[in-house]
Amino acid sequence: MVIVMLARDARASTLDMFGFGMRSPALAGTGVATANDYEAVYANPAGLAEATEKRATVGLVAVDFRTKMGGDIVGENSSGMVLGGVVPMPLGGWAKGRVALGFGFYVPNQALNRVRAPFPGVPQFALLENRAEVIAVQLALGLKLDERFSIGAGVIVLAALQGGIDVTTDANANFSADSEQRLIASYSPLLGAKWKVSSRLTYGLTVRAPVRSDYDIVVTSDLGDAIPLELPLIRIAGTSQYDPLTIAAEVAWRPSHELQLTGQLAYQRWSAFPLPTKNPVAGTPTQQPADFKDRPVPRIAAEWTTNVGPTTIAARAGYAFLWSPAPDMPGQQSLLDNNRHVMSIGLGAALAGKLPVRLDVFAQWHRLQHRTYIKDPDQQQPGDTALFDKLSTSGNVLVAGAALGLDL
Amino acid sequence: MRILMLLATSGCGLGWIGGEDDRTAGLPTSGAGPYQRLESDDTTPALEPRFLNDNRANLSDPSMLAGGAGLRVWFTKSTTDPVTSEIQYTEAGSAREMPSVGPMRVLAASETWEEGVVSSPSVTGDPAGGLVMFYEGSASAPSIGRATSSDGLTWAKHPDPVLLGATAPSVVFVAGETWMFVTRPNEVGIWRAVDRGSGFQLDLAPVILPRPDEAKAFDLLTVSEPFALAVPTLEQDVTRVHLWFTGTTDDPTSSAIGYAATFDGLAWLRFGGLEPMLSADASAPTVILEASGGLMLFEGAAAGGTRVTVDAAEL
Amino acid sequence: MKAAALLLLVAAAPASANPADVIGLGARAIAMGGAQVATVDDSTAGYYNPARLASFDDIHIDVGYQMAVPRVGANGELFPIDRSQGLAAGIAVPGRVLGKRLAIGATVFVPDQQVTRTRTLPAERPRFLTYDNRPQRLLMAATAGFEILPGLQIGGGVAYMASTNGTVELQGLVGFPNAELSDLDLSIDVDVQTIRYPHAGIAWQASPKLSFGASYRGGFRLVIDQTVKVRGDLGTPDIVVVENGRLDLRSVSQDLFQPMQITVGGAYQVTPCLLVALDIAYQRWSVYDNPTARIEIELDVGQFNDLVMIPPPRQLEIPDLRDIVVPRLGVEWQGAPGPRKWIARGGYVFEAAVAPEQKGESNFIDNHKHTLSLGGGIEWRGIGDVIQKPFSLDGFVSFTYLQPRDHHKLSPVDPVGDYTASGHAIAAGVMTRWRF
Repeated sequence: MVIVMLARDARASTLDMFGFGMRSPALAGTGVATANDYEAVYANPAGLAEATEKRATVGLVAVDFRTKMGGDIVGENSSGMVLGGVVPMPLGGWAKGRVALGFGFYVPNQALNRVRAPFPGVPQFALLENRAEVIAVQLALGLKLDERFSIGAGVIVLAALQGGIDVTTDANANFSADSEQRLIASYSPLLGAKWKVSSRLTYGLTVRAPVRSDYDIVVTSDLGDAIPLELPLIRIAGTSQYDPLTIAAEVAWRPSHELQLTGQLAYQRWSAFPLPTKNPVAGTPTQQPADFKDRPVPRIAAEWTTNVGPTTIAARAGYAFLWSPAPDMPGQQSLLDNNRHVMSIGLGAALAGKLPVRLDVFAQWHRLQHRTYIKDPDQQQPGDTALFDKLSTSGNVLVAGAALGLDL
Repeated sequence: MRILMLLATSGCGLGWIGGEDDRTAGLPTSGAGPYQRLESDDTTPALEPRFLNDNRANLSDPSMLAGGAGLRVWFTKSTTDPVTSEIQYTEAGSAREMPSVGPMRVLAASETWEEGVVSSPSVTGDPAGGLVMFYEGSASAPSIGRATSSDGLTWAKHPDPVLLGATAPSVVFVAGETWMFVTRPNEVGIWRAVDRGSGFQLDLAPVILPRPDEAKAFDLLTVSEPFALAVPTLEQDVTRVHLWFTGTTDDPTSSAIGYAATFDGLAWLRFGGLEPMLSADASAPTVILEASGGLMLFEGAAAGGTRVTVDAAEL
Repeated sequence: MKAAALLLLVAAAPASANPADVIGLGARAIAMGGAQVATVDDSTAGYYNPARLASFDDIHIDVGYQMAVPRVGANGELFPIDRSQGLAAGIAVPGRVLGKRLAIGATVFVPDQQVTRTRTLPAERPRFLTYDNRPQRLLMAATAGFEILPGLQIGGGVAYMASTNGTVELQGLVGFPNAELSDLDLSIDVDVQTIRYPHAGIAWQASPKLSFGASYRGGFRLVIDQTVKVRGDLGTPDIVVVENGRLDLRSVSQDLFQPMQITVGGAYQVTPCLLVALDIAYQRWSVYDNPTARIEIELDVGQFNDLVMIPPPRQLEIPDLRDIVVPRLGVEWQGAPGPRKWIARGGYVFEAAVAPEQKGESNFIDNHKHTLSLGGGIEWRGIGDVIQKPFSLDGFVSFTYLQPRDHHKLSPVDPVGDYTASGHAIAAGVMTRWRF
């Protein structure tokens, strides 16, 4: 018996999908050269060193996955809370005005971590959907070396799930369970640097280590005579979240005081993408690999800023092309993904004076390029048949967010 | 073949995963069960779960105490051709070690009433000091004899039986009384006899009966070969008496070990429902309780069931 | 297919508050017996009383490490309970809005070995409610404080915990009679869910010498509902014994219980050097439910159905825990100001047992606990020109004595039997506290 599920998979994080914060997502995920608020904890920790005010920010992000598989919408909605803060450290001496701390959290409203993986071969959007249901905890430090150069370092904290379950019958022939589950903290570092060539030109570079959350649960049983059959040791293991090694280089140019143009080129090492689930028992044949490809990711953005009385208004827009790392899937695996055009807009307003608050909003539209997958019967696992012959995918992802910041 | 000691550690049924640490170490347990046969270990000289084995004789009815080198065990050695039956003794450091003392004969038939047959030793500490053994004598008119010893090796017999018409004794001392649990020829069940200072008197009814109405009960057909342990509780003057026993089903050659207990000797509760504490084939248990575990010796079978051995199980 | 083999992820732990409830958080706080609701002066205010954040003038960053080693057991034998050890850290950032004091803070405790560990145990397995797994949890709280009037602050925040719910499915071939020949594919759909519970507090500086405080920490009780499904054939690749077999197993258990807690307290500066603090905390344990997993199984193995003996669901005992009041007393002595200042601290806590004597099947062990703590620290004025505000290095050690307690079982066939539970726990730690 085979169960066909059009299932979704928790793969990468909201950070990688949309960016972090409000300004960076409004600028199509740029910010390596320009972020100087809590968003810099993800975009480029070196940007923290430019912060001049203590600031706390809280916001909300909502995502609507309208992904289509075979003409049917298979996505779900998701939402979460964004918390961020930046603290310029009031040090003295040589360190005066040079050091800042930043932190950022994305806390999904429903699930801190979603582990979803269908049976191998069941078609799934491998890099979309349910990626929004993953908590992200980030801490970073920025250091200004001089007026032109800044560096920074940070860490992204995830949790991996390990444990085991043993089920037996006790002496009274009742089922008895002894289970232990551990969420193990895993840390992924990121490094950044910024070079302010002039008042008009800034370069930025960020290196983010792979971010990965695994699960590994071992199930054993010994039920004596309750049931006359026996199950082998079962290992429920896989990877619930994966962001690849990313190296992003960005340039920001100000042709005028109000206008800033940004261009970024990032390299993402998707070839190390792990399969969502490992085989649960020793007897299951080895799965075919995912065979994802490394990809460059180009992004461009523009931000126009002006003052209206005591208020600073910013209008933002951006575009990114996310080249899908997933190859054609003629064999066992059905880890589907599409090229994506990302278009973003946003607005920001910052009040000065007695109540220094900031309000930022953004919206992103991810347009999935149509793609058709065709299975090759000769490339299936021995004894297996493909769950579909031909399947088309397309759709849209809509993201929106708003945040309120307060200078302390 | 030398006698091989097998001690099974009794698993308490609250097992853990992974095998490295069962997370039950140190947890209190009454020792009731369930028990698991000792798993074979190539690094030890013993052939687990086998504890005692003799290629030319049946070894049965073990009775165990802690002490000496570690474990002190009395048991019946018997042959069918010629017909012999005597009580022997051995010591070993642990379940997985070879005997360091014996096996050696410590009690043979010498009284007229024994008719050349002694078996089923039940050895326990004597409240008056030293050790006391109750044993079964005679094949045609089984009765229970009594002997005392200071060292467990040399025994002084009481000349007459202390209880007529009984087999397979097991004795505990409770609140100044001596309770003996026996089976009786031509009677069903396990019986208690109490000596309050003037000799053993049988209760009016058995304490444990088989359960012919329970189709899946391990003791559907018979109950026999009791082993009792008296353990003080935290309640003053309240003693818990453990009772392990042999139960058989429709196939009388297939036996398992069950458990019941009481606070007062009159009201008995079973544990485990229809399930035994040690699965077939096992009979004639003897148990040592430890702080967080238990050790059981019992009769097993070797050579396709043609010979009886003493095996071991663990909580 | 053995029905219950596939019990799903993360069933419940025994009574599980967070490690701060068991040990405390921060060197100063633990050394003073946890009597902090009116006097906490570092980032651990995010745990003890968020309102106190708004009394800070400086940025506080505190990083420490603490460890607790329980040596508890029964009948003279120690239970295999892990020590709790991990990083305690926090930050508090003050500011002003519309001329009023405002501050935000974050507090975290991250156990070394795991972020959170949950355990579910068989119903009758003895476990110490306080120590078995309670300290093995991540504590993560985000808080804020606000001064509404001079000397009067309020505060609140949210703390986060996680639980898991979901379904695991296996399909394929279950090897019979040799289970090792199984060929199964896995599908998993499990959420680690966000659980939020509130913190709130109020603080009042009644006079330069006298302060009061009160705090509320929400309780929660999570029900974990998990399912395992197996679909497939039974036999070998060449010989199928049962076609289209089915197993459905559901486990429902309570996870990560934290009692609601209300704390009131005061602190009095007896002399410029000597501070005395007293807290009284009410903890609501009475709503605690038996955490043992309730297991439901449905099985269809064709011609083997007659051999299946699935026991009926068992009735679990009601733990019948009781609410308690916990008094805490703390003292702090500070030396004369200077380039280096010495500080000494002490504290005492009494926690009554929340669980009754365990006479039945369950074994939720708890004892009256007396905790004596000592600690101290050194405070430096700063480091050169770079760090111009004081920082300190503080340490603590505490000893908790569990009053021995007997548990008499009513049933002669109880698998655990009578036992005396006793033991002690030792905790120690250091923390470095910085102001900017």
